[in-house]
Amino acid sequence: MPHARQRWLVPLEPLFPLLVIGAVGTVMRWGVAKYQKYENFGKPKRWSVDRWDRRMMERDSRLTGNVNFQRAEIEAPQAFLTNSAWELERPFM
Amino acid sequence: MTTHREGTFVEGLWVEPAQLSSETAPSVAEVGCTSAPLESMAFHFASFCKKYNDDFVKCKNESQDPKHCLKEGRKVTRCALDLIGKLKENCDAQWTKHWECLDMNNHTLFKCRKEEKEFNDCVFKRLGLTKVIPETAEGATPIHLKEQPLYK
Repeated sequence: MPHARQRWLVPLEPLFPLLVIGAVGTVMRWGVAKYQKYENFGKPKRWSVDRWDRRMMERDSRLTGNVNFQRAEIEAPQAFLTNSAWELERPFM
Repeated sequence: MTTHREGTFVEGLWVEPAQLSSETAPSVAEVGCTSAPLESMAFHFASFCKKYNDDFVKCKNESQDPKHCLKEGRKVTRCALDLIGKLKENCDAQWTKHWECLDMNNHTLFKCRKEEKEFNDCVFKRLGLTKVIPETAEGATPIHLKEQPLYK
């Protein structure tokens, strides 16, 4: 029986499935990053947020309305003295 | 019920209706910067307002009551407002670039060393402040000045 013919000297054929898996993974990571940027007004999501960061982000939301917006003014708006980040819930039960 | 959960059927945020009394009302405006600009100017604030900060910390060490340290707190706020005004006047572009970079990188300082260097140079030239990291070992380069921080 004749030997099966080998196509190339170094076998590259097994690498094609790996490239496909790599491409799918890259598209997945790109898609997740794009969706997070869309949700967070063009910025990546904050990660490893500890208690300090949570309190600072709450202060940011009181100053600018959303945790993703930053402002660098000298003085705070007058509403900052009395506003809060506590949600008012309508009683339903 | 004291369980922490997100509100369902949320209708707005709580606004404090009671006016501030004259003894708790601040006679100085609150600082209007959010977290990224404050983080980038933190070390310069430490050296610019050192004496007021030390007074405030000493006062807080005496008692944790908020009413006890209002006067020292107002001095710190006034100094911070002064510094922010000076930064906006002198180094606005470099400061903005640095805190925008921080904003995109999860507020980690090590990702924005280039912008930080430009900002520190501008601040040193115009205002004479250097960034000093307290408690660095004697003779060791501070981490923000190391050329290759990932190597020993």
